[in-house]
Amino acid sequence: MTMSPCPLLLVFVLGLVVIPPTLAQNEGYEKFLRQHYDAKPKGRDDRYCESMMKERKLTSPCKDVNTFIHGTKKNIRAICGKKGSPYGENFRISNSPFQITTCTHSGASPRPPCGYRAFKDFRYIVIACEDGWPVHFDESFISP
Amino acid sequence: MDLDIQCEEMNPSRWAELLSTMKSCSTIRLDDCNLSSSNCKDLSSIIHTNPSLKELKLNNNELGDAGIEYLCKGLLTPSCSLQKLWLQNCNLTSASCETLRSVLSAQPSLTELHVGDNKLGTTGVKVLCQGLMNPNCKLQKLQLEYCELTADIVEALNAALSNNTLGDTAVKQLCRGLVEASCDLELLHLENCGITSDSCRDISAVLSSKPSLLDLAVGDNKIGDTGLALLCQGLLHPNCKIQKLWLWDCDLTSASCKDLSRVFSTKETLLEVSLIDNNLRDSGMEMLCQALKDPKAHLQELWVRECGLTAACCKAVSSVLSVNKHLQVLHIGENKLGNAGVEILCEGLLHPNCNIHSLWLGNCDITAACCATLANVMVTKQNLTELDLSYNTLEDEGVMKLCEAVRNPNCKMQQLILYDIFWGPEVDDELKALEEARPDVKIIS
Repeated sequence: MTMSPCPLLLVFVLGLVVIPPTLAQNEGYEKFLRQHYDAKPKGRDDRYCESMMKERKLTSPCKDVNTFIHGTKKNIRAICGKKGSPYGENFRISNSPFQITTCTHSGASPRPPCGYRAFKDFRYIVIACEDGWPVHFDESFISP
Repeated sequence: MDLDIQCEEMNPSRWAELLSTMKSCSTIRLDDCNLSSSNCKDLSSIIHTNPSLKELKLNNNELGDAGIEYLCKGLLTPSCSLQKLWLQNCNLTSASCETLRSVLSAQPSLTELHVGDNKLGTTGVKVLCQGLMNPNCKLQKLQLEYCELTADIVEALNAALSNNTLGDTAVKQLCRGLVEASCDLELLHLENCGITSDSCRDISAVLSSKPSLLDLAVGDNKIGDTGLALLCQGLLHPNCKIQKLWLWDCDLTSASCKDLSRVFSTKETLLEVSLIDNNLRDSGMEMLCQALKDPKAHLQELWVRECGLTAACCKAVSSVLSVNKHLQVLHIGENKLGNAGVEILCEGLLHPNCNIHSLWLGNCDITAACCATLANVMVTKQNLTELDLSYNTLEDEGVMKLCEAVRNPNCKMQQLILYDIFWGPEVDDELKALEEARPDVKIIS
């Protein structure tokens, strides 16, 4: 009877230790979501790209290439774990393909208004993870 | 006094508060504020009672045709001296065009009207054009992007026609009309209009007959080297005072560079040229560089992003930088210059004659090994204020070297662009520290 409080106390202390790293990681993950996550895309055409890039604050100046992933947060995050495999020195590749739209900057000026061309694809993606959270999308990897 | 608001929900008390400030504003911007036709009633009386109002921006509000009707009541009062009006994406249809036509015919103060991204349709725009033809109309800029126009438009327009499927026939007719009309056309934007070299003789005729034309954009049309040669005839004409020339993604090759070189070295009015996404290659670039060394070349901005260039042309570019004092912006990203090429470029950049303040080297195959040289340029070249190194594998080592340069008070950078570069948490921490150490330097990733 007198033993039971102790395990509870232990769990509480462990909880305190675990929280700070995830909080620090969330900034990188939040940025990843802002730049690359769109679960319910509308249109996936040039106009989609033009409005998304603007909405997600990637147009000052115009970011030349940017991919939006149309999957759930859960599945994307899982690439850092069971649903992904190591790729190169720092990255992970998804075990299954994802629906994505890659927006490429077309047009002259690197300043707004930014014109974009959309490219829809269904392919494996490569990301970088930190402490189990996606923090970077590798735009240079395009699966064959 | 200016009112500049974007993306703000207007509750009645906030709206009332703003209305009282609007009475004395000279420019008002209320983009994306969820305004509707009822707000237009209030805005109409503001326009009516504020004779100092010069600019009004109401983009991305569901004003509808009803809203425009209300607005125009104010716009038609004799005391109204509005110069610029933005109504992009306001859910307007051709019904608004009759109202707008009456404004164009009665308000000589209005010089700019932006009605892009509304379903005006061909009929609506034809009605607008009637307003343009009215002798009272002094409109200089009419923006009609994404208005669902078709090739039926034939009247002379001073308009932005980009991103409408006009085709060669319509554009040729447009150009012939423009040459005959007495309008002082300043701007001709025909990007992505489905034109080919077939239209270029007629566009050339506009160039040689309108000394008022300062800005020509034919990007995203497959005009090719043949088309470019025809355009250059007009560009080289003594009547042509062109300043801005956008020829991106026009299917040009190095063969175009001979004619372009002649334009660069003779047209002193030319300030800004975009040749993005044309396969100019090193040989083409070398020809352009030769021209840029001519004292008559006054070009200030050159964009040769994604032009199939390699390290081989960097010597020529570098020698331009060491003699040309006019060039201020160079966009040479998306070319496989590599560390070797960029090192050569940096030699030219460091020359005291070089006045480049904005340099774009994104996706140029630069690695950490080049960062020491780039850092040196950043702390030595006081007039370099903008540098883009996005999408290069600089790694932690390279980025930290750049950060070190930013810390140096001699570094006068205003914007360092580092999109799509992977780095670790150590760099994240350093970037955060830099936000406080050098808040004047914006580092964008």
